[in-house]
Amino acid sequence: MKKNYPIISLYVSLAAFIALALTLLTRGAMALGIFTPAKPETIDLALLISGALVILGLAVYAILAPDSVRIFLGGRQARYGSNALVMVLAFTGIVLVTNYLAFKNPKTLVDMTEDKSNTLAPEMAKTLQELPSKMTAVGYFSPEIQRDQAEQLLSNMKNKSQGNFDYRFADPVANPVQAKSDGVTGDGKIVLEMSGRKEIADYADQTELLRAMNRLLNPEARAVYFLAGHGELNIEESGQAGLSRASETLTSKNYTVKTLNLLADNAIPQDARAVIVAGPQQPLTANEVKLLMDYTLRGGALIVMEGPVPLTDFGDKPDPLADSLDRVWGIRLRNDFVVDQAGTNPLQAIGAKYSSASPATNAMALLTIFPMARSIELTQKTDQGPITLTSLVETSPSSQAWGETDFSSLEQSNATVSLDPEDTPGPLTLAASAESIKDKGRVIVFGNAIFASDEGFDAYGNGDLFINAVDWCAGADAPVDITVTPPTQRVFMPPSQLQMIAIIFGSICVLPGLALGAGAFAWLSRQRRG
Amino acid sequence: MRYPMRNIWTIAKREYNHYFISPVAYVVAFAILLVIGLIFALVVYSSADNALYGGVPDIGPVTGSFAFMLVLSVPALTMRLLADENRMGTMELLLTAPLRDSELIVGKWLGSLLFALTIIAVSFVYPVVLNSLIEPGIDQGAMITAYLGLILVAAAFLAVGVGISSLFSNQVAAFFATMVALVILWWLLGFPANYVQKGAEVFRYLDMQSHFYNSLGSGMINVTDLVYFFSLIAIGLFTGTLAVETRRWR
Repeated sequence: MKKNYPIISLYVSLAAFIALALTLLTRGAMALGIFTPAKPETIDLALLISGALVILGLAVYAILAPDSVRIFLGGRQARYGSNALVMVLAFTGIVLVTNYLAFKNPKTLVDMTEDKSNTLAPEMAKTLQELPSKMTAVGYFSPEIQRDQAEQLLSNMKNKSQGNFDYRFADPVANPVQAKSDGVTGDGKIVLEMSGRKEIADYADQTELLRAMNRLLNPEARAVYFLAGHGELNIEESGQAGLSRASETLTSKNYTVKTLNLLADNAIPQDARAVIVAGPQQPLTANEVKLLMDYTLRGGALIVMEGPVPLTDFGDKPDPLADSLDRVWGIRLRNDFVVDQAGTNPLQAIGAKYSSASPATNAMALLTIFPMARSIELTQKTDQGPITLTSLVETSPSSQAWGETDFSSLEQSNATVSLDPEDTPGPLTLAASAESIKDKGRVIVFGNAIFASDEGFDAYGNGDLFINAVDWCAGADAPVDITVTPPTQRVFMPPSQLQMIAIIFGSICVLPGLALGAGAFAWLSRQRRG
Repeated sequence: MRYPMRNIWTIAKREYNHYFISPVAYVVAFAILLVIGLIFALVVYSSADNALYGGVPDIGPVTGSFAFMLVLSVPALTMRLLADENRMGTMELLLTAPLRDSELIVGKWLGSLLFALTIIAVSFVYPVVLNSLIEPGIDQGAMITAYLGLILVAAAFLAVGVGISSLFSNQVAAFFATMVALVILWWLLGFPANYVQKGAEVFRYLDMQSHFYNSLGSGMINVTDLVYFFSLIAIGLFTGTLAVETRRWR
């Protein structure tokens, strides 16, 4: 019985060694920030205790069985074993240190792509090298979408920043609260933060990121005004009649969001970057419209969101705003409502086609839903000088959509509507923009306001579209001068039918068949030789 | 006078030639070429089918599927290398030869790498064909780094395989142990990066796929990728050397 005591001490030592290894692993994970226990000091204590037990167990064994220790230490195995241990420790140390240094100092040796597509533009590199303080990027990417390109770009930016730029990724679906607090309205956006201020890049692209960085580095007041006094959607209210989500998101993008009562103030504030008319229930007065039109003609920006007339209290009263938009900016709000068979509810118009020419829509990937919308017509005839008119959002060309003019059907719950000669056949424009080439005044008109209300803001791409529209109107898409090598245009020349057969046959049969044939030949040769 | 390179080369040549009398090597070559051939044919066919939409294929699907096939086939190429010497008892003969343990291991690894390079060289026919179908040709620089990545992946996998093979005397055990190690390296190590907030970068660094696809596969040569792959090669070869050396005094 007495003979077993030394072995027990060795077992204790072994168990303590395993505990020590696990504790060291945990400590390593803590050092790397992977894991943070509730009481970090207990890990250090466990480290000390397990280390002490290893030594204690070995010491007790040496005291209880001195002969075994003497034989072991003087033996051949111990000599070679200790040599091997030293080699293992030295090798592990070298590998760990080399990899740690490489991990901490990532460096691109060469970008071999023909267009240098992985290399940062000189302007971006300069901005990163001159960052005055730490800037952090959070890429909001759900597992649904590829983030390799974004990761590569952000990694290149980090490498160029001399330690002032860092990034991480977050899943907007798994962390909706965090995404909401950052003002993120969709997938694939990158939030930049510096000194407590935030800016959002709508997609992972050097130009877009540099634009957001410039806004962050050169903060300036950007006030947008929501018109009030005509039953418009309220920025402080939640729900169907509220714009609180839109207002919060604009605030998180460093906009100052205010209301404007033109009847009382009789002037557009000097700091207004854009004025938004969101779903008035009563027509604006001629004087208010004049103030707004004068403002846009001086280079101001206006967003008008007006739904079908029967859903407002306009009745038969004239709509000076709609008339002026038509006359001055060439955008006509048709007196109809959109019936769209693309979705389950024909009264919900679905925005499926976006203009690639406008920064407000060129990155839109998701559909937009406009419950009860009216259609828009671009007339091209305007009172003022040359303008650029763009149909921003349209219904799907393949869906059966039309602008219904028979409003009586809206009042009957079981009424059926159909495309009549007086209706406008689809595809229909649901949002349009106009920009004055001379004065740079900008106007966006939506045939609906509900899409931007709290009820519709988070549906599909609705929030993105509204925020992009404000960004464009407020000039947040200011051009940046960036030198990116234009990509080489490659064209795939489809092979002829014969060539295709040769490619398929060669790839699937000839090359693998050669390997198989050579194997059979080698096997037969061996058999023949015996 | 010692000539370590001559010893290494002699063993490498012997192993390389041995592959050509082994049915396993032909089956591996057949499987790799069949899968990448199938994928290449599909890529060309679908590109031709969608030519109107302007999509231009690149060599990524070929090198990507080749790397994937290496995960499955390298265990078959390396399982025999040292496990068989251990089982047959020929390891003792090698240990008494005027040869360092490291030379033996590097020679075995080099032999298997030369065989893998032979299959990689055969697969070079795909970029050549693709180049002829694209005007003004594929991105040559990106193609070179993708192939360099493929060679580094093969070298690292084979080194790990050689290291594991030296620990076993049973080929089947060596095969499965190598397969598990490669699956961990290729798929599992990077997996937590998608789910942990802190330390995701560490997992991304350990993930072999990110070194292959995100940089070498995208036309870039980074210091981190070279350090990562050469470290894996060194770990594999060091494990093998140590395992052989311990046989001398165990």
